[in-house]
Amino acid sequence: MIINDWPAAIAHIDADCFFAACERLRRPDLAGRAICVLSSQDACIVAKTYDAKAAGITTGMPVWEAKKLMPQAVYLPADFRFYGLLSDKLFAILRRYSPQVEAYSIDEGFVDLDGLRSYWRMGYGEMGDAMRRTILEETGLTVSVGVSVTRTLAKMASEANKPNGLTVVSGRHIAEFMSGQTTRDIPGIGAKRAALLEKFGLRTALEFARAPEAQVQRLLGRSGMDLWRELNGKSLFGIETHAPLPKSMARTASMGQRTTDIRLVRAHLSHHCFRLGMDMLARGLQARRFTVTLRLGSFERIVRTENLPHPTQHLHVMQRAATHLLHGLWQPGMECNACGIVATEMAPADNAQTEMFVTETREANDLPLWQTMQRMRNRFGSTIIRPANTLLRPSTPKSRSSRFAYPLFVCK
Amino acid sequence: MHVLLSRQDMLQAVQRCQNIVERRHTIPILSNILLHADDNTLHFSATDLEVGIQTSSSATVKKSGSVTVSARKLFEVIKELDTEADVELEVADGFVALKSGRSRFRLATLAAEEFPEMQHDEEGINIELDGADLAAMIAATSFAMSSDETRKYLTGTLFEVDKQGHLCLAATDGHRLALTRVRLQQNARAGQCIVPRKAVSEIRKLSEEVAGQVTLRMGDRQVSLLAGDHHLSSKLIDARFPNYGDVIPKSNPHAAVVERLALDQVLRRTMIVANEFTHDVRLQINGGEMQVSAHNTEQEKANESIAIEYSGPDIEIGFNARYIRDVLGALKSDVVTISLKDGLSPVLIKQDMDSAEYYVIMPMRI
Repeated sequence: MIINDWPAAIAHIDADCFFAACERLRRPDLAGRAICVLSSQDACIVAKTYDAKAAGITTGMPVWEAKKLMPQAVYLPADFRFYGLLSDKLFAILRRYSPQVEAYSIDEGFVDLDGLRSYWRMGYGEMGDAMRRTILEETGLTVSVGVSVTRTLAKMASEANKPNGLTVVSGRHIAEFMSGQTTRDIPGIGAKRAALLEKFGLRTALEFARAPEAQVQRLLGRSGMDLWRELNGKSLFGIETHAPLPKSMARTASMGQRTTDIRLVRAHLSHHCFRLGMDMLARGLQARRFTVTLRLGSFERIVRTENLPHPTQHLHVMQRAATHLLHGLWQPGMECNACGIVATEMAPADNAQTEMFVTETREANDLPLWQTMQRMRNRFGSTIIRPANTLLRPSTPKSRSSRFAYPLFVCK
Repeated sequence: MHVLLSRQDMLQAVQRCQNIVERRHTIPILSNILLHADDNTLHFSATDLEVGIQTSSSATVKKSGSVTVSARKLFEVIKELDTEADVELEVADGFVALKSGRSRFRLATLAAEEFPEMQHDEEGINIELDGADLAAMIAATSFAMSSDETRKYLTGTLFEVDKQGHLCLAATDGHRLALTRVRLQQNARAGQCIVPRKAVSEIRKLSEEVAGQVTLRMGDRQVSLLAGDHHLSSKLIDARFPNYGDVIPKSNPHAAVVERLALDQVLRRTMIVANEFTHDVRLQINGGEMQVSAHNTEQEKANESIAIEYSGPDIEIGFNARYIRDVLGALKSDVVTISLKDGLSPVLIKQDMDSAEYYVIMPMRI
């Protein structure tokens, strides 16, 4: 395993305890206190600070269990809009350093630094450190940065030195770095695969990387072979700067009560349809296939699907399809406690099919109206405007909707 | 009921009924065929309450009567019987005993009285025309019907007799329109109706199979086709069809003439890398050449050019390639004429300037 120092250069940037750190940013009074961020239904933990983690709180843990472990922690409902704003800021900083940035998730990204040493007149490690410092100065968030020759190694490197750390693994130092990592530290190797590898004497990442190719192929198949090559310094997974099209988008939720009133179900379904439509507009997507799901009082789930002749992002068309599907599913006396809509067969909305007849053209002309509504929601919050046919549905409780606080940015 | 008839006659009649019967229906008797024997004829009826068919076959009737039996089972049984032996049906004790050669079957029945009575509109516009012509008209238009159940009025084909004595068939899904017309040999009053998709398909099959003249009857509530011994009827879609005349371009000044099969092949190849749901392709028309290109979100691309006869300005326009291919498949000529105005206006595709078929396709914004 002798390779050049930098046959390629990829940086992985991972924000530390992102949601909790965002909350701490706008609530300076919480400094020094453990923070747990709850899921949208306030049911379980989705993020926590390191001290909460040390107390044994894990992601996905029910909130009542977490409160037993750490009653003094602050439990806050998630505010994904605010986290999204900070995430946008973070990625904007990364794009200053390289045009090739992949937003892997809301708080994690890859940056292709290959060839940029002469442009920035600094080494790859220095570039990683510059990104880390700039993010801290301009957003107040700490991130951990890993810089290495492949994507997998860069991710392992950033995980190896958290929080607010920098790890640089050049080709020459791969073996040294991996000798201190277990197979469980390799992204893509979970508990079961690690247990399998251990049975064959492969405990460290280095032992795995040095295992014969045939053995890796036999034990872990093709995906294992890809990881093995990446750990040996051969870059297979590049940076994906174009976000792949989602296979599906769904908006479903419990209604918070059981009902036999189709009007109430229709109001909830219209609400989900509206949310889905707004998200599709924001992401510039359209869909051809829509599925309505109902969860009955017996917890049985029933679904019905409709294929439209052509993909759409028009709310009128989606609402009409959803209502048609609901009426196809609904039986008198039916008791329902949750509903939702799923869009599949997604396509980019920039290539829109034009309509032939006036009625449909009018619907197509409503698009600027939906876009304005989407911008209003983006700017003032999702409760600022909603369709009248959702009015039967009880609105979101005040305790959850009125907690917006202005984020504090340091502008430079 | 006790009858004897040829296996071939019975297979054809049952098969025709089988097309109408819905496999899964909440009303059990609608899965059955009504058999009624009298006057040396065995009558077959099937319906799904929207579309119904009545057909008959000559038979030796030993005892007249009626019964209903599962369409699917009867079809499966007769299909497998000895092709040379006649079929004997006898009703006894709530079952049909079916004999053919050395085969014996006993099939369950439901009472004939429970079978829904099929009503026929006696009034309406009667049109006589050649079955093959009617089938060809449907083949030229039916692909453009919509499958969008939320816009019911587009899920059928418009049958219209205009004031000039033409029978016009029009189908559209809101993005493309297919229209064909034929001059009628007899006088018929003007009128129109929307025939549902399933009935359109059955009218086409029946018209194709029956050689010679057929009678199409367009009533207020029903459309019927009388073809030989067969009487097909269907409820209509009770809605207003869009005013299709308004969307046929009247002033598309630039005509491109292109080889039909060659363009079809280019599109077939190019759309491999187009988005799998929108099938969007870009046509760049300049001089004597049409560039066809496509790309997708995985950054894959395709590009091919084809020679055309064209003398208008350069035009760049996007389409769902499938819509163009459907039209090219419906036309039979060697070349087609594509009339254009600009990159955002509907195009008109015809076999030639005088042909009776009109195809309008709305472009995509690209």
